[in-house]
Amino acid sequence: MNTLRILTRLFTIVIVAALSISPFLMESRVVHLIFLCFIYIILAQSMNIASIAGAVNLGVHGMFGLGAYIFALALPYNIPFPISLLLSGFGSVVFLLPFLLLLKLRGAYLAIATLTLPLLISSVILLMPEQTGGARGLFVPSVPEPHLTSYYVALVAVLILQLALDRLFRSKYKYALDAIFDDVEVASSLGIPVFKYRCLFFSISVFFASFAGGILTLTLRYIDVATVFNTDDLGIATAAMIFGGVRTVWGPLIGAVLFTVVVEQLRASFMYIHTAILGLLMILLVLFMRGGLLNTISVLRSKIKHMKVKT
Amino acid sequence: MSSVESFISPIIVGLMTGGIYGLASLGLNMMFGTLRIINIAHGAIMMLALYFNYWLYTLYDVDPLIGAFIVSLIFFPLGIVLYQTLISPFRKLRPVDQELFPVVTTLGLSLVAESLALTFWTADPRMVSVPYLQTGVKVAFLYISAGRLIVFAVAITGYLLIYLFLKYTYTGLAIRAFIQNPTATALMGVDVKKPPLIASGIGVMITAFGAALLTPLISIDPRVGGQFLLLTFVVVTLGGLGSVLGAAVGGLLIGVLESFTVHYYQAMAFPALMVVIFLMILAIRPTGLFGRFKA
Amino acid sequence: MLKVSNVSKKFGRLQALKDVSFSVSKSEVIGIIGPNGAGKTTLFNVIAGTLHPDSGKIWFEDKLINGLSPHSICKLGIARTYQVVRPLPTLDVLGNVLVGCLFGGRGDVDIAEARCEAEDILRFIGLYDKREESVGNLNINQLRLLELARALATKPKLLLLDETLAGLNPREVNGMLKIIERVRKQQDVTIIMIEHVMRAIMSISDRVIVLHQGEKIAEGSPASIAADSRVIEAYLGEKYVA
Repeated sequence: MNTLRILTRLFTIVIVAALSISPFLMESRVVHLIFLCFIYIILAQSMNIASIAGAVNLGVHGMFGLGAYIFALALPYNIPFPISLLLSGFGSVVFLLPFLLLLKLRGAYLAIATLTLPLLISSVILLMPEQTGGARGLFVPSVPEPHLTSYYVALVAVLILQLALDRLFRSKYKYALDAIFDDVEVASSLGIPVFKYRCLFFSISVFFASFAGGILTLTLRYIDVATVFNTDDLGIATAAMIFGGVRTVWGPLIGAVLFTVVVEQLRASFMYIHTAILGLLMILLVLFMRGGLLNTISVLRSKIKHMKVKT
Repeated sequence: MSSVESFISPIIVGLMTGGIYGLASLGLNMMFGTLRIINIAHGAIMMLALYFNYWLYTLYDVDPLIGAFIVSLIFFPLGIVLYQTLISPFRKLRPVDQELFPVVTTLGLSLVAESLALTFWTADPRMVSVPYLQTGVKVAFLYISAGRLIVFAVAITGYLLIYLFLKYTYTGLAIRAFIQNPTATALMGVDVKKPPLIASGIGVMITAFGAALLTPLISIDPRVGGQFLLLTFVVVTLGGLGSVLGAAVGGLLIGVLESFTVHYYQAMAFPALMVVIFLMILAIRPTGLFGRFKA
Repeated sequence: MLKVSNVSKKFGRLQALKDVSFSVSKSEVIGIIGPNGAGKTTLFNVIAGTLHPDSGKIWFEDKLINGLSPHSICKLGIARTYQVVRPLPTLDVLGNVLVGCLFGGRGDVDIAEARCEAEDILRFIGLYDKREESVGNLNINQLRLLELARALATKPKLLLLDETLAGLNPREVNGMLKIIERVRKQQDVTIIMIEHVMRAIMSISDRVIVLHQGEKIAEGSPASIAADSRVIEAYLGEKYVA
């Protein structure tokens, strides 16, 4: 193993260790901010996971809300919270199974279709007030040490995501994903079951987005449709993913951390301006720095490498 | 008599509103037909047009019907700018990206529009009530508000004008040719940079016009953008992409459907119903009723 | 090995394929010719699973394959190249072939094994020294070779070559034909070729099938096809029939 790999590994271990003990060392405001970063990392990465297989998922905020509700509804049945959390993830996947058919659509249409899902889910919730509390919302039963637990669950989730993505990108499946990204027809003719890949990755995307919803609900006493089905979250996750770099391992993470911090600062001062800025950023990013930070960097690096070879 | 009345009345109301929906969706249809892009900012454009007309009425006492024409004139160049900045930069990319990137930019635009509207105009719903439009008019055995009738009539006129424009003017012909085959159109001597530009301008213009016509009829708040987005997309997908007739038929159908849902069930169920219809169409018959392009 | 039976395909009002039937035996080389728009590529698309026929059946090794997805058909042993080359730009030359080795063919392969296979194929084709090049730097001959290598990576029993010689100069055509011969002999692959380069088709094919406006109008040995009046009429028009 070369020095760079060793250094990166050491660096990561140090960071993870620091994050693990920070709830006991830093003030709760900072810890809460870190926790929010985790949540948005998970959301951004779940969009990323879908995009990797060409299955655009613009409905992550809907899955987030669904996960929140499943968790809140499962707790009163004395289902221990770890199971409830997993349920919020898997439950969403089960509910959204019929929509997997949508993955046969072309990119842009799939994008629009996923965009409508949160509206459907939230409307259904509102239309079933006896089961879900409807517009009045739902009270969440309390869990011992909610903030600490949710922090660590989120941390573990982020670690799992990053490790899994890293492994994936080094595996043979990366080739399949690149092929699908480049040319679906050719990939198919080379033996890659494109639709199955899309279904798999989209399901994983749904799982993590809803899981994040469940984790957040751990810390709340009360949820309602307006708070957990928020286009804001979509904006942050999308901008984070695009800024950091779509289809990269660390891009969405970097983007999510950056935007969570920035948005939290802005949210305090201006009510809705941060969304406007995110929207503007999205436009500018796609126009000028299409691949996002990491992709642009890697393109520049290979260009420099090419120039060096020539001279 | 009253049970028949209560059945017919929603149909009529639905048809009237539907006519306007069709007009607004026509704009989306045109943009899709020429640009092959999905404009997520469509709902936001409608919302802005509504507010424009609202302010014209509230601040300058402009009759909403006249205001609609003013608004559409303002939005024509805006449509062109929209195309130039958010869509044409991606012309050189491969088709998959060409479709996908405008989705992101228009999504960004819709977020900007909605959040700025929320910031400066707040989420408080606003209404325009113009006295002469509120009076009821007796048609056969029904009472219909004059507002709806007039607005519907104006919408139909707008529709006809667009239809005539597309069919009998040179530019309209160029646009239709471009929709069918851009390369052949270029070979015929048409500057192919123009049709999509103009279509974009016209598309946004019609959209704004349709939305502005709704000003006296509905309550306005920044969130209606999202609802309109869904609605117009359902209309376009149902009627069929690229079909003018489809937008009209789709609009009428959805208008009636909305009317019935509100009348017999509850208003809140309508968005959910529309999503279901939308997804079903995409899954089963992506070309819609009269469409020429497949999703 | 392959049996195409009464296959038809319509696009709107255009009848691209009308009642096409033919058979291909193992180790044969079949040439498919016909004027542009005859439906040749559509035929390939239908066989490879990219399109489904409106009617008719296709058997491959006694198994019904029409209606299967392209990736299943690939796994069964049919590979194809494209009329306009479609390399995967994100991957380099080796990567393009590697994808085929990893996912085509039968059985699960790990990266190391697949990489060896891919390198072997590149050596066979003659692109080994270009293996780390990005596809944007290749010329048309190399791109066609790459396309062929990628198809071979999936260990096909039947190879569908769609105008593999288009755009090549005479020397490159000879080179490609030699490789195709080697593929047929060494790897025991059955080949169906769509071509416009007549001398190539005539020299290498065992049998030639002629399509015109979606219908099969002639089938036979290269010599008999060249003399067939219907074929001459289709290509050149009535008055050229001697």
